[in-house]
Amino acid sequence: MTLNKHFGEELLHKIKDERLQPKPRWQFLLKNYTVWGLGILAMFLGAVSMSLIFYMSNYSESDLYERAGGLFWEKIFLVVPFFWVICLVFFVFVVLYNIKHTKKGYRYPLPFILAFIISTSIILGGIFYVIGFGEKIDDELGQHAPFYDQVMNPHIDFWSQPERGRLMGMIISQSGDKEYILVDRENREWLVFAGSTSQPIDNKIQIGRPVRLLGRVRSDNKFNIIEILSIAPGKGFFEKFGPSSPKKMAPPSSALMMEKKQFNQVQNNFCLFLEKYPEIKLIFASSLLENKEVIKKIEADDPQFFRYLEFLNSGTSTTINWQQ
Amino acid sequence: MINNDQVEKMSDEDIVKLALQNQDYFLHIINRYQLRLFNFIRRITNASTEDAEDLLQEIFLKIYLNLNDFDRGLKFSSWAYAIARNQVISHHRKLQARAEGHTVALEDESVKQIAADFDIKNNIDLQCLRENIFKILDNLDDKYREVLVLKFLEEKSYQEISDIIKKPIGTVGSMMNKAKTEFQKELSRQKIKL
Repeated sequence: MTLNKHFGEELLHKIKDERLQPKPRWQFLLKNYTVWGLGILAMFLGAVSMSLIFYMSNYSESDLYERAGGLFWEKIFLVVPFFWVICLVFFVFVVLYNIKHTKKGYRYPLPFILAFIISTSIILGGIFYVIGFGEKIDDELGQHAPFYDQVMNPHIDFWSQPERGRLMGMIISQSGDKEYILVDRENREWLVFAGSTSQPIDNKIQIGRPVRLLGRVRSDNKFNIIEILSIAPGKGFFEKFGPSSPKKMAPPSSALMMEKKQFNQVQNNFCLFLEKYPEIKLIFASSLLENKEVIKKIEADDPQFFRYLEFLNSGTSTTINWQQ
Repeated sequence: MINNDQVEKMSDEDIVKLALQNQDYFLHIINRYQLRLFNFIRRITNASTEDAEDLLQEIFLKIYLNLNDFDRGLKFSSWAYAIARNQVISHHRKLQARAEGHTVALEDESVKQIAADFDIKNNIDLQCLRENIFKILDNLDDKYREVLVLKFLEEKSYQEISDIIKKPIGTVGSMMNKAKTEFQKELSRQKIKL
């Protein structure tokens, strides 16, 4: 019932016979450095996730989502950046696993390690956010990451529903007074009208700048703006469509410009016709005045309508105020 | 070559350095630890002498192959016990299937230490405790049996137990308290009169 008294000698013979040698030190060092390296990398990525949580949370506007007609669950997804929260949780667990698998990681209690990882993520993430690293990462992901608009930034999906009065995209050119051409997430062009917004447009709408719009679809690819809002998270995504990017720039506006040119031609012909026959012009103006309800209805859909009627005042002794 | 008497006076850590240069020195490590680890295996498992010896051989081979991984910030004995414990865990089912019962002798000092720590009455019958202690340990959960064996039979400190079972020292403390409670309960359940 006791140990064989030649156990040691026999074992040493076995080691010699089988020519066994201790595994080289570099193998263990490599394993240790890999564990530490992966832990540090996961810590860094966790801090990046935290900086993106700060960045996206800072631009969440719960009252605005309500005004924009967002549903309750939509607001939850917009206010809480779930994608980055899930990433953070994942990286926290990767760091935890790696710390526990370092040589002395088992000595530290789980709550202590978790508190250390979370507080380090908050501090590092806060620093990354303050120095603008979070914003930079969001811009880069927006430009290069696949599925950015579907997975990482739910704001793009929410603000890309023109039928619900929300449009988001890049302003690529100006087509007239208070008329701009915007490219949406699907690279589709919209003629947007800023005539009925009370905001100072110059500060809000600039060519090459992405915007969010609240308003109403007027007809196919035409949108009346009620409110203009800037974009922070997700702006990188729309910069792909910007005027500085030649490949996105070229074909878009030609169809709309052609439509506008045809409209102007018809308008000019009609004006010439009325100028030639002033009696008909008078009948046309007085019958319009008798149908003010119709005028108001059209104006509601097209704020530019009064501008088109101004030509009826030219060459006449009395000036009609169409807006009254 | 350093003579045997000189090597015997050296620390484990220094012998490890020598064994990395010349495998003959590893015999000193084996001689120092073979009985301790053999008893440890038998105390935490139901292994037969043959099984325990086979397992011990595997443990020493693993120690030898991993000598370069020994962290000098730890005690060599803790590192060796940790390897032994892991090897026992990976063979646990096989050993349980060939249960034979514990027959490892206990020192009087160990039995007295248990009696004192468990607050067992002074006029304790040491022989009775000695005879029944493994019967009680056998009925405890593995994790409790393990810490009790390490503390009272292997006489390891809390820090050493922490390094062997790879748990924080605070966790070792709570496990020890719980193990003592379970030991007392088992003592009463088996109606062992000491």
